[in-house]
Amino acid sequence: MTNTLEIKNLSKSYKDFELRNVSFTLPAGHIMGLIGPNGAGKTTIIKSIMNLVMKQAGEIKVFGLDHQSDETAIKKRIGFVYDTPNFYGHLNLKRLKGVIAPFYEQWDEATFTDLVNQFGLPMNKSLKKFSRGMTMKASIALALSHHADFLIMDEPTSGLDPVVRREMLEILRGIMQDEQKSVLFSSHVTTDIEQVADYITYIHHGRVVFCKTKDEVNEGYALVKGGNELLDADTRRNLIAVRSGQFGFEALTDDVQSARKVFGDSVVYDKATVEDIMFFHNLKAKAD
Amino acid sequence: MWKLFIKDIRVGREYLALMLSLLAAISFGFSRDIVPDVEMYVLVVILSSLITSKLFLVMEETSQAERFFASMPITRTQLVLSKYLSSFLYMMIALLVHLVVIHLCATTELQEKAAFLFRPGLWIITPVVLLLSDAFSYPFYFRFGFVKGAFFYGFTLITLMILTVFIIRFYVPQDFAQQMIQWVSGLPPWLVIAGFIAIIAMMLGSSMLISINTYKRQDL
Repeated sequence: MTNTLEIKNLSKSYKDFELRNVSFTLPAGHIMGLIGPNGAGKTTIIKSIMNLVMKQAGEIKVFGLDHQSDETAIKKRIGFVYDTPNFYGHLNLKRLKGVIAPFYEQWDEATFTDLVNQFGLPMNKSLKKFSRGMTMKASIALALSHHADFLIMDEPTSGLDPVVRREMLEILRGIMQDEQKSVLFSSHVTTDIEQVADYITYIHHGRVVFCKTKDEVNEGYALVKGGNELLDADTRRNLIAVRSGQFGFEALTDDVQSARKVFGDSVVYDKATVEDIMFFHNLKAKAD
Repeated sequence: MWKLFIKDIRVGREYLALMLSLLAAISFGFSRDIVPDVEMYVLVVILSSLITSKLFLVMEETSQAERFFASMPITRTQLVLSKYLSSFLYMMIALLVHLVVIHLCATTELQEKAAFLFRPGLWIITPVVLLLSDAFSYPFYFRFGFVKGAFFYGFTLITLMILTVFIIRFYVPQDFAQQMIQWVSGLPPWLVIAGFIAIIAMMLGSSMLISINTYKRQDL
């Protein structure tokens, strides 16, 4: 299986934030969700892939090519959607298309028209009058009209109402019907990721906590709930983080078998959602 | 690169048309003696041409569309060079409008009163001088953005002017300029032209290099 994206030891530091040794790969034909709290480094990773921010160390390969030395060749095959797309507000979609299309040899007018009709976008309305949902859809239509093999989207669903968000996820599913296309999208809305992603990469404080398939995440983690008297230094070793209250504790484990050996049937095991995983990892980071 | 220039025209055609209409009106007003002062007119031509050359930069700054284009299959070098190209061509278009209107509409009286305005040499030298004086503003724009860049460039320019005046006043002999003119006029014309072209190329080249290197390191 070929990889669409390979990131090795990517590092970048700012005054108050550092991305440290980020590594993960995205196999071709899959959707990867990049999750993490606000400020975790998702946008920095995405911008580094697009060479919009300059990495300080590490290696990024897209379609097996270096993202800097083969930048133009790579970007011809990428469709990119910003979290807040910046278009010329005074233009309408028809004119914006006229501005963008000449830069892509593979531009397909019919695909663009189909997508615009499918999304119900007005061609003659000025872009500054577009709602956020319409702007995101326009951005996706533009990103997909040159037959991009790799779609990168930074927080495409944030700030959208549930109906449009659902539509957006349906669009993503539609894209994946072409098995050669890959998608990387970031979000802090974990349910979006759970619905469409094949791979989940969790970023926290500029580091990769895990990069796993959705099945591995679903099967690998569990919520453990029980009485506070069961917690001691030994039992805590099997838990990533613990939240205890008056009526007992709730904890996350990534080693369900060991937890079962330690706690047996004295606790309840629940399936952990991505949100639970994020929450407890955040709790662990705070405790550390 | 031409695609980027055409993009600038496509995006800003209404604003460019509006600006050029304004410039045509100014030149028409002067040709009909509504703007009485020749020096004032020359100043207006220079300033309005410079402002026109920055029109698309203002549009990019306000829309932040530059970020969007940087995500497309365009190198940063191309983005930088296209800005120089667009700026220069916008400036030329502005000067051309002034030139055409003043030549077509000027009264005979004005042609006698301000004869130097109708010499071709003036309209050839003006864009070259404007291009050179403007060239070093670009590294500032690429480093700090348009508004901050204009501020820092203005500040640097004023500081340099004060320094130059100070050096001329205290360290340069009074007849230095005269001596220089005499020395240059004693040289063969081809050497003067070649030297002039070399200086332009060197200044523009170094400005472009600084801008490209600055912009390539920039996080967008």
